[in-house]
Amino acid sequence: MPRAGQRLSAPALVLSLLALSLTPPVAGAAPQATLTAKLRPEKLGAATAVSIAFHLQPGLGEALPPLSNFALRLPRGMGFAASELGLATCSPSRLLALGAGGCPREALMGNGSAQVRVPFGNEVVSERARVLIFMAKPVAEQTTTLFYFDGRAPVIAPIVLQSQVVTPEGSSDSILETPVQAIPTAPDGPEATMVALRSTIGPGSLRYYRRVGGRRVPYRPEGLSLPGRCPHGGFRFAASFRFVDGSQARARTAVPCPPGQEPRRGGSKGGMRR
Amino acid sequence: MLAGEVGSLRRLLVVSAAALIAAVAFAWIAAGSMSAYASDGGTAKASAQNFEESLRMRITKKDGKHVAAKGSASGTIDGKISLKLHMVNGSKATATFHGHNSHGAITGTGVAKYHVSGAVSYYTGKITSLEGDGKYAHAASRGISFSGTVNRRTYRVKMSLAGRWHA
Repeated sequence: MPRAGQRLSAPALVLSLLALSLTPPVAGAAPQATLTAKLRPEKLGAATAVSIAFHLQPGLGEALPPLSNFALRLPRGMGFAASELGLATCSPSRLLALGAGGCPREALMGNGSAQVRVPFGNEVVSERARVLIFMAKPVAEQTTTLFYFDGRAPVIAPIVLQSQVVTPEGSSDSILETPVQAIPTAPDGPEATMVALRSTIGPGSLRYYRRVGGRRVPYRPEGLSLPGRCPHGGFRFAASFRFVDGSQARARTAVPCPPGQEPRRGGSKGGMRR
Repeated sequence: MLAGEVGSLRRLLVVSAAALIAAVAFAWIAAGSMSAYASDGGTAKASAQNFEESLRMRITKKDGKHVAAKGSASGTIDGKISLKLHMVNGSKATATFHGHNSHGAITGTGVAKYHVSGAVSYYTGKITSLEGDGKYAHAASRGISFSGTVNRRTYRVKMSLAGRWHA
């Protein structure tokens, strides 16, 4: 082992990091989380669709506790204000009463799916639910979106999670903060546990309509705006998860810069050459 | 006799020193006042006036994290106006206003909070710097706030600025 003050050689550093990343979870350890993100298209300065997926695993020998909150940090400069997503709003009460069809088409911003584990007696049933993302009216002057989980009775009932765009004091990050309520199952039964969520916010399959010469013309709304420059290390996403038993998990990922769009090191025009 | 002369000399020295200190202090204060006056563009004596402006614009360009709009301004200053909004993140933005008419031009920059509600984004913020040329060469903000909306469906932009300024 190198002494304090000594530098690790590059191969030694890589091996150390690899060893750390391959360390198996120990019994009684906190849950683990993985995060993936995609941008389609990934064209700097243009609108894009953002696909995010997370997967939660229990610590070794433990059961995954129900999730109580997840927070997703978006890359800097990414927001809804310059997009055309969510030109109308929907409310949680309307979604629960009428389902997704009760909301204006232009409130829909994206979709995806979630996987939940539902305990039934001694068995655990894995159930997949469709997820739709809607623009909502702001709460406490913060941009708010709704994650509608179109659960199918009798396994899980439909639920709505309210996600707010927050920026911590002194930070320029945008975080989608989402408290997760209990996912009810059978009467008096234990609550279901969300283990995975896959969602895409962006035009994809969305169609909005606008009036042109008295006719309703469909169009694909512009997605989230991608900054004009790719930051060093790519577009970074991070997520943190809190569980009802107080345990936490974190995960991060980055979408690499498009080929040829990486920032130049040290601002020199030539970059690194050999 | 000698003791009396020494006493008079002492009194004279004390009085002279006090006068010198007073003169230096007066000069120091006066210099400071003049310096402050000069650094304020000669407007320190001018009192702040009300500033109220209503902007009506349309989005002309949207890319990445920027929104640009152009239109007209009416109120304290009438003229053409352009606005650039730079989204710092999902709830903060910087705004740059540039207005001009036949008398001169004026540029203000500010920071704003924003949130989105359906088609409309709501902005509220404060002007952090104001400067101009021509008739508005001495323009300075003395507390101007702004609020407004950007409609993502109609591309209409409305902003109101209100507060105090030095003309």
